[in-house]
Amino acid sequence: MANDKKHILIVEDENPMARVLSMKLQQEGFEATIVGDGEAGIKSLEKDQYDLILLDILMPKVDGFSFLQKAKDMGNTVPIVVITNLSQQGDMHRAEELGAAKYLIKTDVNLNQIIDTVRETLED
Amino acid sequence: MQLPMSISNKIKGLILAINVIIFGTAISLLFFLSSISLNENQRLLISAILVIGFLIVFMLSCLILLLLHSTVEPLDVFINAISQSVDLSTLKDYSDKDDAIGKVAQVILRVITDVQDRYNQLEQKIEKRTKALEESKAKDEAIIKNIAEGLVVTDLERRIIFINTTAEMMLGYRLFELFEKKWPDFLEVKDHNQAVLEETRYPINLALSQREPVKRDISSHYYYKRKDGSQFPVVSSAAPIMVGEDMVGAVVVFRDVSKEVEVDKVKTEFVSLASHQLRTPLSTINWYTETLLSGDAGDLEPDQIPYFEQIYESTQRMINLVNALLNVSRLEMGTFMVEPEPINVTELITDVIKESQPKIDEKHIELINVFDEELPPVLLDPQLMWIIVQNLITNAVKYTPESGSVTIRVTRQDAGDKVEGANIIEDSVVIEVTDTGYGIPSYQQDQIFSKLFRADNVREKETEGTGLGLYIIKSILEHVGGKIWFISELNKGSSFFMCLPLSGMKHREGTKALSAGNYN
Repeated sequence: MANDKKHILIVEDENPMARVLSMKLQQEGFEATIVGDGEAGIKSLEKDQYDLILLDILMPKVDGFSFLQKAKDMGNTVPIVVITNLSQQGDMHRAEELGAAKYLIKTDVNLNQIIDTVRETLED
Repeated sequence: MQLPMSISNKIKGLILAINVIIFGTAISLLFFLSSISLNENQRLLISAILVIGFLIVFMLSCLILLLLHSTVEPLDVFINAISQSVDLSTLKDYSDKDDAIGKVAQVILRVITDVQDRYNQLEQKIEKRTKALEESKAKDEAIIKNIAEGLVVTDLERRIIFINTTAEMMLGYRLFELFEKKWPDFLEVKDHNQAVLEETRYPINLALSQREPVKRDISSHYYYKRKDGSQFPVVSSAAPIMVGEDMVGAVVVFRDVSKEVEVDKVKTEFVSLASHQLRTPLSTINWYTETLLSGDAGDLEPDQIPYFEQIYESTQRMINLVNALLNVSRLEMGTFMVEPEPINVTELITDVIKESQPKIDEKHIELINVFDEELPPVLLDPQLMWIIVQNLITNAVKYTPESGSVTIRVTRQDAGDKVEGANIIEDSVVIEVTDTGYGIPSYQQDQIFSKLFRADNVREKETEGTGLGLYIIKSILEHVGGKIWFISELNKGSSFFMCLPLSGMKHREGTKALSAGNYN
């Protein structure tokens, strides 16, 4: 049964945010793993199989852009949804160029909208 | 001046000449008679006729001379007296006489005195006026010299006629160097993003083409280049000089805003940073409250739900406020982008209305739409348009009491049209939002577009509101070539008008998009 669940990797340094995201995802029938920075995110990506990555941008050690770059260099095919409060157009373009599938602004979306986006991205 | 020969002298000469001629003729005839053969009687008769004739002529001459002496000669003397110089005492002497000349002298004396009186009055008036003019000129000169603003006066072709000392000092040029040069071509004017300002956007050009004053504030300052090549930020206004209906030139006033720009930059950067930092905890509160309200974290007691709903709503308000502040800082830093695409304006407005519908229904407000359905699609940035229209409509709904009405009118206006006191410069789409709301007190109408401003009367009625909505709308419109204006009457309502050229917004690279949201 557990194998049917889609596995989401949450790369987010704000622990409360990561926790509520994880909780919501689990309630909606997903499996979720939290890592606190980009470096840990890359390690998890090398080790385990994921169906989707929720990625913050502003993080210590390896930030979201570097994570995207490294994932791209690794030949990653797992879709990445960026979820951040950086709303500069340049950031958005940069993330998309680095292979992000979607770009969400934290204050502009609620949890249900995040779940919808996750489902849509998985279907694509 | 050579005086003409007097009349009496002319007549005297004439009489003398006649007498001499007749006397000569008579003597000649007498000699002639003696040479031809006539009898004594005939000779005697002709001689007598000649002598008597001559005597008659002579006596007549004497009579004429006598008459001359008593009538024409005094007139001559009189004319002579007054033609050499209008001497009032001479005239007075004559006017005492009871004869015809005395009367003439009296009339002339009256005319002269009258003319003199009038002349004196006129002189006094001129003196007074000249003094008033001199005073006013001195005042104007003192004002112009001592104001801290640079002042430039030009003709209709923008050729400089005058600049004041402050302007000379700020720019490093002297008036004689700039005389008849075109303002402000030699200053290489740049906008607040350091982009070269198009000639059509010079305040002086706008003032001359719209025939109305153009004011700019710190959010749209320009940069002028001094003679030495350095540049400094200015806020400049321009106004046409009108003589009745005729426009004769323009006057430009500008001030150095280096300090303000510096302070503003620090403040804007601070706001931007603070806003980013605020958004993270706000998102967290938002998501946790949402989780609690949805029951995902266990059922809430029914009594608890309103408390959580209040937390949720307040967080939303805070997020809107932070987004608005971010937008303000982006507008002021000039870092927002404009990405125009063909937009059906009335469709966009209909979508915005849909979003506001719950509030419209809740307040039982009657919504009237008057749309020009033939309006062509216009090149506009959808997000910017959304922000503008949404804020105009929510403003109208918010500040209209229950059961009032809000009218949204979309029309096409041609260049040269006038809409409620504003001149339409080029073919435009005009969006009007009219409400039957509280109105804006007349004493605060000039502040309505200021940042964080809220009118006294609405502060009492609606505690919510940031005072950023209209400021943001105006800033956006100024950046994309649009315009906003309004008319308002206290307790009757307000009409806001905005126009955008049918040619659309111009594409602009920027680093940031503005965040949508209701900022009012």
